[in-house]
Amino acid sequence: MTFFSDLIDLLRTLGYQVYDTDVPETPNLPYIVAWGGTANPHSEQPVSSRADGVSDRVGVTCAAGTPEGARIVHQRVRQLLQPGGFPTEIGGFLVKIRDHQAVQVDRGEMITGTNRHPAYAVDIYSVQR
Amino acid sequence: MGADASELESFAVDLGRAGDKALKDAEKVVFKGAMNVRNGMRKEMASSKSFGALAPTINFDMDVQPNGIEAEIGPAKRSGTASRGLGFGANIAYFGTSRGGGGTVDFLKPFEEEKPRFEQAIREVLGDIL
Repeated sequence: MTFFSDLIDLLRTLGYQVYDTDVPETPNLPYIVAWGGTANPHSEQPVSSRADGVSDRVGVTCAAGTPEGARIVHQRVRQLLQPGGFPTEIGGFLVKIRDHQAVQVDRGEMITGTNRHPAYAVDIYSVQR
Repeated sequence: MGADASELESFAVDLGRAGDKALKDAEKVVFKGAMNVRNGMRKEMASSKSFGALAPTINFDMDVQPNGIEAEIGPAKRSGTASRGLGFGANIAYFGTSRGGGGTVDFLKPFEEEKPRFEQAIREVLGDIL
């Protein structure tokens, strides 16, 4: 098992839809998408990032139909990955919060069948063995 | 974006006791540190095929007060639609969108690389009052 699959499995225990790097055209809200990292920037080299399954930096994006919804998903993710504010261990790697973007509305996206935009929050974690 | 500068908080408190020369020297150290971080962030951004054009928009502002010196470094967010768009583009490069996809650049890396050099330089300037 790679670090990334362990992370995805752990996030799935929260009961939300969890995507690995790639979000489909019509995603099921709310959802979580895990992506990474510095060594293999996914947006430019997505395949190598997945193949390695290990990165020194991963992002977890929590999206929902409303800012309140995104905040709830984000709080649950944060509590899972940084219980009590402490780093956690996943697949033999130490995972520690590194940076955070507060909830904001993504005006570049529309929720299918509505005239509303999704809201999202982002946590970036450092991953070290 | 935030960077953990908690270790520098005690220094910030003591800065009010420094003399004029020490403050001037500290200002130079902060300026140099900010310049190095800015250059590092520009290099990070320039290395991206998708966002490289935004590299020159990264700059810094300094705020020098009698009891504290502060540098704010990042993509330009001046008023005006075009400038706001540049800042937004940098945000996407770093945090992504609601569909994920951030991580193209690492703005904290240049800060982390500069931190030990900055701390050493500031110790040399203000060693007596730290």
